[in-house]
Amino acid sequence: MLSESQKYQALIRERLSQAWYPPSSATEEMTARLQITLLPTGELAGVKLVASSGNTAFDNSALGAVKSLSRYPVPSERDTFETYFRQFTIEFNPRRLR
Amino acid sequence: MKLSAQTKVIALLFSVGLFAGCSTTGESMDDGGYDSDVAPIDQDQGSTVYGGSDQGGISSSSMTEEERMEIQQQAELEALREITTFYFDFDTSEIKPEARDVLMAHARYLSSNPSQNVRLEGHGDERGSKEYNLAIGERRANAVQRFLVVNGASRGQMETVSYGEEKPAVMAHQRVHGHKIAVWNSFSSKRTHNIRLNP
Amino acid sequence: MIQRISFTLSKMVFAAAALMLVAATSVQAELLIRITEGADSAIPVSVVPFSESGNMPAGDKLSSIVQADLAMSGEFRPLPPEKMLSLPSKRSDVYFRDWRLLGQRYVLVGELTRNGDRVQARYELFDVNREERILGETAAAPASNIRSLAHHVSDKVYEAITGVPGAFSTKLAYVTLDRTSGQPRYRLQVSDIDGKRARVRLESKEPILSPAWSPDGKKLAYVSFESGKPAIFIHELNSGQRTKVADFPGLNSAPTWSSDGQSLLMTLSKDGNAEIYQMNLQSRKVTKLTNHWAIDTEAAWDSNDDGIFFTSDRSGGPQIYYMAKPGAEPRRITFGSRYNARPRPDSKGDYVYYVHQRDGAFLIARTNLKNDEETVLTRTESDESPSVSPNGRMLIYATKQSGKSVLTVISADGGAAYSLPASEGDVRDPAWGPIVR
Repeated sequence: MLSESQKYQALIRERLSQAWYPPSSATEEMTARLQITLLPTGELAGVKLVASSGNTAFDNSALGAVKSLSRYPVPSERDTFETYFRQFTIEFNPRRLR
Repeated sequence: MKLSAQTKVIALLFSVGLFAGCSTTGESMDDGGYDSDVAPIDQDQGSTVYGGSDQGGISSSSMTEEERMEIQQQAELEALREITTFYFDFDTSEIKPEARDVLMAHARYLSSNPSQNVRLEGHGDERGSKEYNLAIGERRANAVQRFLVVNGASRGQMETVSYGEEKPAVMAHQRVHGHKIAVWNSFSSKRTHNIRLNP
Repeated sequence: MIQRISFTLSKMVFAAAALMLVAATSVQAELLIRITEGADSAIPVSVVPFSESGNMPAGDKLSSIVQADLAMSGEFRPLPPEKMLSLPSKRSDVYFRDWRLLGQRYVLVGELTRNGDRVQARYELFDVNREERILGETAAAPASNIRSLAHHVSDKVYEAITGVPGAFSTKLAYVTLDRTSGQPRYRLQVSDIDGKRARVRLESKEPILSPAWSPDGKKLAYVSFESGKPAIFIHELNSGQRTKVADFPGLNSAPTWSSDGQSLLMTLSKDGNAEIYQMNLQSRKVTKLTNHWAIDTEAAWDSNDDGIFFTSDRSGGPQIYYMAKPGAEPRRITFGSRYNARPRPDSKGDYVYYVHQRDGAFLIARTNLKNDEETVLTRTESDESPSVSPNGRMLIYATKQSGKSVLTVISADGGAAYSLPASEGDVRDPAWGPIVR
């Protein structure tokens, strides 16, 4: 049984996977970390690249994916939101390149 | 009698018989599988030449039994030599048993006519890789050359060239001069189509 | 007193709050969402028709050529202009919200200006979600050369988005076979990679095979049967000057260049059977690199010019082998089926592409050289002559369409396919030219 937080994590992961277009220069060794801040409505309040992959096109693809979601799926339960989704980190690292 | 200076073309083709997927489906049978296609062509080549022999005027009563045998044998050999196309199984260069008698006839002819030359053209499969097929074609030409040498022809009488998947223009040219030319092979069901293209 | 207590209390509250905050951040630090897979579709991009001032040459518009280029790569999905909400040509007219609404990731806008006999393009590329300009440039070309200008723009756009140089300005060489006049007509041609601007470089009634580009893009090596047997020629494209470099007894075939352009790998059978040789083009001296009773052919250097990939049937059927250095014991690369031939490694050394037979069909496959994983890339059935683009992202090969040989471009991972415009007769033996700076 998934917890409330796990459920929304999975939803966010799914949405971001669909929105992310890894560039052709991407390799499986590349990782970009982004810290994102959300509003309780699910809107993106801010995003910061905290660890670059070393490849600009790759970093930009990650930033583009994060910014492309108009609204993040977040729990309506305020505590869960504050605890987990007010601010969190997303790591982009392709495991299986096309 | 043909002009001895003219070079004869022996094309070395291949057989599709072992190639799965081509002869087993009903569809490709409609287009003419290898067996139904090739056999009649060879028969045709043989019979046309045999029937049109110029020896018809010779009276048999003036010949001894031995002479008659000799002439008949000669005619048979000549007929065999009209077969200038040899097929190989896919991706191999092994001379098929049914080609051996024919090649023997060619070898015997070459050894008794040292001024006659022959050009051995090797062809590979029409699909796959062009350059590899070129090498396969050469290996087939070499296999035939070796066979002819072992059976009395001299290496100097033979020129080998591989065309791989290609169709040499020289074949069309030779045909104009009345030489029997090998029917062009094709690997796939387009075989009959190709024969029509190059009548 | 009261004040003091309250002070202490407030301090306690503060401390408690701080503690909670610490707790909260430590929990937050644990929430890490990992994205390990991306979208399985091409990137939506909008190439807005460029505004034009002055007389423009007739023919295809620059923006439609760029659109076609990007689509052909298989990595992009250009939005048809009729679906666009506006047609901006400069930044101030770009409303990111509109483009985001259309699901677009990038927007290319620009303008063309006629300047004497030249056409100038000023263009900008925007990242819709980041609302940032990621490329801005002005480039010019003779008005008669608008296709070159368009391919240049495509290259820049491709590189700005993907981080990989574009290969749209490169050339293709291929051979056409025309049988309409009774005599076969073989024509060696060079064209843009979309098949446009084709020019015949050599015509012969005997077969022409295996064109291979010199690394500087100025010469082609190929096999021609014009003298009744296969011989290797080098053809300088600018001058049209040809040199017969290999005409040994037997096979002279499968030429490929070393990356310094100083030598050719080739297949010769002068010593009895097909072996791989290296010819120094200065001295014309040949060195034998393989020595086996089996057929060894179709050699190509790996990305560093260290080792050689080639086809050999030493194990029975043809398979791909790799010789780590000339003369070393070859290692077999392919095991997936009984027929694998004509290897072509990419320029990065990641993959080797080849003809692969499976279930009676001849397909194009590649093997990942890091983990030996084999992937079949095509679904047609008489595929041959794979050639990788110099940036390693696209692949061209010859296949059959209703009995005719045609060229098809796919993305190097086997994605979207694009067939080059059909020409008279068969088109085969494609060779993708280098990126020339």
